[in-house]
Amino acid sequence: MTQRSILALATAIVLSLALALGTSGYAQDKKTPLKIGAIFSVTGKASWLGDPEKKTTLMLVEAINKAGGVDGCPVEVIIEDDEGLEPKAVNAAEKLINKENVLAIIGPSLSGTSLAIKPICEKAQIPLVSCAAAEAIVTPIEESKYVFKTPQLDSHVAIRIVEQMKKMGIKKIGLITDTLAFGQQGRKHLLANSKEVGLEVVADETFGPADTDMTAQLKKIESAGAGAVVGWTIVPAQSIIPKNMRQLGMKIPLFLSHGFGNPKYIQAAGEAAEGIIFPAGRLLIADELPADHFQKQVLATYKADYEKLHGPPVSTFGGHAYDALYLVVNAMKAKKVCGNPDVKKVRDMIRDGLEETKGWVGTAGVFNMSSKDHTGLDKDGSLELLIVGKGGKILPLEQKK
Amino acid sequence: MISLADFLQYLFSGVTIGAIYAMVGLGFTMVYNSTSIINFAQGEFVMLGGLLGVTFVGAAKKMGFPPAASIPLAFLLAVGTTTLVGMLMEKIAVEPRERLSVFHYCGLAVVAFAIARVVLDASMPIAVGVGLAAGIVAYAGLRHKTTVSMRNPSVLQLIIITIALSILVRGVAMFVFGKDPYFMDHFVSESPVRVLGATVLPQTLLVVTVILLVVVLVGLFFGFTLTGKAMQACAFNRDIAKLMGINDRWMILLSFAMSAAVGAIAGYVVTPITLMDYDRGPMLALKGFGAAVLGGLGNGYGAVAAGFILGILEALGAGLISSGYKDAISLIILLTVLFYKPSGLFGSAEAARFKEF
Repeated sequence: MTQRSILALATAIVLSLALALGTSGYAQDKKTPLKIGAIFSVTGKASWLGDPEKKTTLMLVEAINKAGGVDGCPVEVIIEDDEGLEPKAVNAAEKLINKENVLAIIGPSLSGTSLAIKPICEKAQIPLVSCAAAEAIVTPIEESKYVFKTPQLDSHVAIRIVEQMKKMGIKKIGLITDTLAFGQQGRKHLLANSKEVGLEVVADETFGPADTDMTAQLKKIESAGAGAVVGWTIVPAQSIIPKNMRQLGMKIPLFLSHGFGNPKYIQAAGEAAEGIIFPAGRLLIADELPADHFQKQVLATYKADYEKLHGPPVSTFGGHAYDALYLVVNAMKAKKVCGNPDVKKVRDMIRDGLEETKGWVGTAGVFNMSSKDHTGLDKDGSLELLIVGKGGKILPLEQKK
Repeated sequence: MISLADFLQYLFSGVTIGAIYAMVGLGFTMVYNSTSIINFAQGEFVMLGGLLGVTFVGAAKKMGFPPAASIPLAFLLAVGTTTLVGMLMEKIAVEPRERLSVFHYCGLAVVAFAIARVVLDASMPIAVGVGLAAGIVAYAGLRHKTTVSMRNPSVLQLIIITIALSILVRGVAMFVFGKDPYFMDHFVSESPVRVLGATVLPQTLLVVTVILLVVVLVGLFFGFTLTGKAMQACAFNRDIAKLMGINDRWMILLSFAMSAAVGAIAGYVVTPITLMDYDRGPMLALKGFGAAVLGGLGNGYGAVAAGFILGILEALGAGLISSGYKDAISLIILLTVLFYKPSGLFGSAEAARFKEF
C-alpha cells in the first residue's frame, strides 16, 4: 500500500470510531466509583457459563447503582473474557489487579481458570470470589486466605448423589465424566464417597468436551453390570448421554451433577431427559417453591428480572455471579469502604467483610462464611435433588414421590 | 471376553463418529485438489450447515410446513447459504487479484458497522452511517491502488488466511446464533434398530447413506464431466491448465463452493445426533484433516475411508481399552501410519512429489 492509501484507510477508521464514540455518550459520576473486576468465559467452549454470568452482573450493577450504590459510591464492574483458557485468565487477573486497580475480583467461570489465578490473587492480597465449583479453589484454607467461591461444593453434590443411590438400593455404579478439571474433580469425589457408603464403581469412563457419541462408554458401563450411571460434566455433550442411553435401551437411572442445571441442556436431550436425577440449587424450581420458603423471594425476583431482560430460561450459572457480586457489594457496605482512597487497605477490608458474611440468602442457599469455610453453604440447605419430569419440566424429587 | 453385541455396538458408535470426519476430510480434499490449499475453515462449514439447518427447520415449522416438506426445504436453504458463504470466502480472500474488489469495501463497511454497533453500542442509524462512511472513504482512497501482495499469493499465505476466516466465521456465528447448543428432531423415527444385539439409530443409517451418495456423486463429477476434469487439471498444474483455456479462477471458486456444500450437508444430517454449537468447527477440522492426511491428501475416497477408520478406532479404543486414551489411541495410529507411509494409506508418493505443499 502506498502512503496515501494508508492515510485514507486510517482516516476512515479514526472517523468512524470518533463518530461512534462521540454519540455513545459518556456520563461522569461525581464520587469515585468502587471498581470490581470480573473474569468470565464469555466466549469459547464454556460460554454458556460466562454469558449468563456477564448478563447477570451487568443487570445487577445497574440495579445497585440505581439504588444509590454503596453508601453513595457507584459500583463499576470491569468485565474481562478469558475464553475459558487459563493463560487468558491469568492475563486478565494481572490486568485487573495492576492496571485497573480493582478492589475485588469475581469469577472466573471455570474451576481450571479459577485455580490458575488463585495464587496471583493470594500474592496480590486481593479478594477473589470464584463462580466455579471445585473444592480445591478454597482449600486448603491456609492457602485460600483471599479466595472465596459461591457454587455448591462438589463434595456435597457427590454425597447427595451417592446417598440417593444408596436409598434407591443401587449397589453398582458406572461413572462417565468429562476430561476437564470440573469432571475430574467430580470423579475424584464420586470415587471417594461411593467407597464410603459401600457402592461399587464397576466402570469409570471419560469423554472429551467435544465428543459427539458416548455409546461406546455407556455400553461398557452396561456390560459391567452397573445399576446406575453417574455423569459429571458441564459441557453441552451431556445432553447426548441420555440420548445414547435411550438408543442402547438402557433402563437404569441416570444421575447428573449440578452442571446439568441449564434448561437448555434438558431441552436438547428431549424426551430422553425424562427421569434424570440431579442435585442443584433451587433456582430451577423457583416457581415451584412454596411462598414461605426462605429462598422464594430471592429466586423469584432474580428469575423474573433476568427473564424480562434476556428472555427465559434463567440458568443456575448466572446465579453464581449473582451471589459473588452481592457478597462483594455487601462486604463493601458492611465495611463502609466508600470514599476510602487506600486500595490495599480496602481490599483487606472487603476480604474481612466477606469472611464475616452470616445468614445471607443468595441463589445457591444461605451463606455462612467463617475463617475455616470460604464457601459457607451446607449440603442439604444449598442443594435440592431434582428430577426431570414429563415434557422436560424440572421437579423436586421428594414431592414427586 | 467381549461379546459380539458389544463389539458391534462399538463399531456402530465408530461409524457414527467417523461419518462426520469422513465428510470433513472429503471437503479438505476437494479444495486441496484444485488449489493445493488446506482450507481450515472446513469445520466452520459443518457448523454453519447444522446451525442454519436448525434455524430454517424451526422457521418452516412456524410457517406451518409439515416435517416432510420442511426438512428438505431447510436442507436446500442451509446448504445453499453455506455454499454462498464459501464462495464469498473465496472471493474476498483467496482469489488472486490486483485491486480490491467491491466485496472488500462491503466487508470493511460491515466490520465498521459491527464495531460501532456491538463494541461501541451506537444506535442503529449511527452505526449504519459509520459503516457507509468507512466503506465510501476507503473506496475513494483505495480505488486505484494495486495490491501487489495479493497478485500471486503463496499457498502458505492462503492457508493462514483460511485460519483467519474460520475465526471470523465462528465469531459471527457466535453473535448470530448465541452460545447454547442447538438441537433438531430426527428426520426419521428415533427408535433404534436392533442388529444382533447392538443398536443403531435410523438417523445414523441415513447419515451413512447420504455420505456414500455424496462420495459417489463427487466421484462421478470428477471422473465423467468436463468441469470435473478441468478442476483436476487445475490441481495438477494450474499454469498449463490456464494455457489450455481452462478458467482457473472459476474452478477454484467452484471447489470452495463444493467443499462448503459438502460440509453443510454433513452438518445438517448429523445435527440431530450430535447437537451443534458455534464452537464445533476447530475440533471437526482437526479430526477431518487427520482423516484427509491418513487417507492420502488429495484422495477423496481415501479421506472418506480414513474418516471411518479414525472414528472406529476411537470407539474401539474407548470400548476395549480406555475412554481416557481414545484420542491418544487414534492419533498414535495416525502418526504411526504417516511414519511408515508419509503419503497416507491410499495416497501415492509419486503424486505427492508434484505438490507444492
